[in-house]
Amino acid sequence: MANGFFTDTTLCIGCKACEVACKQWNQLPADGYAMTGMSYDNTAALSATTWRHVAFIEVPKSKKRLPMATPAPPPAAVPSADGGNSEGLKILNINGEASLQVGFPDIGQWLMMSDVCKHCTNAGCLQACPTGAIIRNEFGAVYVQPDICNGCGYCVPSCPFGVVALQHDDGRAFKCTLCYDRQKDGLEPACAKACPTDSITFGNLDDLKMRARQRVAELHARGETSAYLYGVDEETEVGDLNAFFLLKAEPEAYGLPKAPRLPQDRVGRGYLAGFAAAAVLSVFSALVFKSKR
Amino acid sequence: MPGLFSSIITGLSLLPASYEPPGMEKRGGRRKRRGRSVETEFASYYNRPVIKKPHWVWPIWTYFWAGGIAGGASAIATLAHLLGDKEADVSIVRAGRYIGMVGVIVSPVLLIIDLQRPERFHHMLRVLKLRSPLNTGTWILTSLGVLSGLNFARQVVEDGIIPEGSFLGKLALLSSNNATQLLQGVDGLALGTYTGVLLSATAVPLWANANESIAPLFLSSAMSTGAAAISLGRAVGGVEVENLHRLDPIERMAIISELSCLAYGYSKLTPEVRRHVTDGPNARSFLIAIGLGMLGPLLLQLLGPKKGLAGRLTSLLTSLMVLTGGFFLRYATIVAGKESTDDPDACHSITRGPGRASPEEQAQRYSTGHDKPFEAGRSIPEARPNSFEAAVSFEMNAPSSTAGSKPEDQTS
Repeated sequence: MANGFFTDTTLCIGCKACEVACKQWNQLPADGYAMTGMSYDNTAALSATTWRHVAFIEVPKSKKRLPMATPAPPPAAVPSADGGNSEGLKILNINGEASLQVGFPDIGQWLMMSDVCKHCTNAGCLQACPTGAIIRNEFGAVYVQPDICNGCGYCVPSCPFGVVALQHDDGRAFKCTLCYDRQKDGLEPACAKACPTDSITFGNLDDLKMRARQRVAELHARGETSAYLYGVDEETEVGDLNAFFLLKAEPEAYGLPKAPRLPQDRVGRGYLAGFAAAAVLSVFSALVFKSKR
Repeated sequence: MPGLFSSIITGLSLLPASYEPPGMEKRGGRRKRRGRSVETEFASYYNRPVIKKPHWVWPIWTYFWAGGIAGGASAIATLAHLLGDKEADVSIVRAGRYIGMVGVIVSPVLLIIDLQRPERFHHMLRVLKLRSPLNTGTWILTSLGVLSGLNFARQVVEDGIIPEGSFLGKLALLSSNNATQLLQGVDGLALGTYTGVLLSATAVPLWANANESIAPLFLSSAMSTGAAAISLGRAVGGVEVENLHRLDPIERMAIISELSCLAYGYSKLTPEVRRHVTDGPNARSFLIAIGLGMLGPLLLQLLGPKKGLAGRLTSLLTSLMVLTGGFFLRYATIVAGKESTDDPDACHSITRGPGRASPEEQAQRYSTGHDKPFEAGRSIPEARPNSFEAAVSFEMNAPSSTAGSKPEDQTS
């Protein structure tokens, strides 16, 4: 039975313990001291040496507080200042309208999400790999065999999530292994182990999905109506994701494609179109050679 | 005019309609990127790329160009050998075999240079994966290498470089015939095609969006550059001028097919992706490819002189223009594709569509039946059983305590 991750972003506190635990366990080198200058997120993206990446999305309540012109906040995802869940102390003006809310009226909220390789059911990188280095291992994870990979780099543009990458001083492609070595020893992956809020849970996929669906229903019952599952019970080309997410905003906000597509679904059509052109040009050329000069 | 007619078929009618992701609106009715609905409010994650770009640089576009020439020259030489005039078209076969040989020697070198672990190049040949165009292409190139070698050896013997009576000469004549030549031609066409499939079978917005137009585009370019290379060789090699323009109709036809594929592919691009073709230096590269490599030679062939020294020079010039344009076509396609990966708007523009139930629908579904496994659209692949499962059991079904409970490994 396949194992995977359920990452519940409503529980994420952005501590990056998962990033650190992953780097520690897998002995991944540091990525330098680059600053993105855009948010609290200086990790920026998944890479060959970063297999967990915590995305930080600061959602302001009003556009006036927006540091940049874009992106604008999604009105549906942000509870309004004087709307249903007014937990702060309200001071009413003479007309009975809320004029001031003690607390943090204009700060909005954070969306934080620990991103990771999705270990897709139909994995673009796995299907693209020309050496067979990328396999599905006995735990249902998509795994790059480092002794086979020859660094052709074709898996990199074939991943619809931009996960796998080449390590340039080494030359080979690397990504999350779902802690293959730890699973071999009956341990859960380092990131899930380190997560202090259980935002990341690891386990049997059937159980995780049941738990995730339950969590969505529970959050909606509590009034958190923007919660939804990404990567489960979908009709996308990549199929269900073995690492799936509970999100609160549109997938694009987290840098995820709304409906990820499997690149290899275009292989057959490509050959068909190419061979059609080849046939037409060959027949024409044959006519040219047969013709009188 | 058969050329124009069949090119229209090549470019437009024969090709299947482009793929539209489920639920994606047709052009015209497509949503604006920003400011209209909640769905599009967060256009991206701080404008950071969604996917990663390939590392490919000059060896790859040079290979696509050289491989295309080898493939096209092989195909044309084969047709000339099997169907052409036994006297006048011999020089086409000869040039095609020599060019094909040079091409399949240069191509693997370029590909291996591009590998980040070049010493492991042979790992490409440890599997056969038809869903991986890079793998299939390696097999195509390898087999083309063998076939080109056989037919090249025959040519060398026929040209008298190796004496016919010698052991090598006998061996060369024995190991090649019309069948090996036919296979080389078919393989050459496959080589010209697969490079386009290789690009369209990625998540790169430009290549994915242009979809099935890239393979026929590259194949047509392989035919035009292959013909141009043969014509160039013949012009330099001193073939008489009346005979020199023999391949011109094939070249024109291939160019018309290229233009049709470009127009068709361009019409399929979303506005976000189209930007990377029409803006900046990419536009210049595409214009060079089209102007210098397609429209220029087309006009020159139709209007230029056919006789005398002027005719020879015209043939020389058009061949050089087609070859240069073919190089720029590969260069522009790869560079513009790489640029489009950095653009999250372009990435999102080709992956729209619902894909999943809305949060409300999900909540409705899940609130009723979450205690039993949900009927998913696709099932999870079964992994092989292992000792881990026996060793570890998870306490999963504690009611409504999703936040707190976590699978604990009992072995630790």
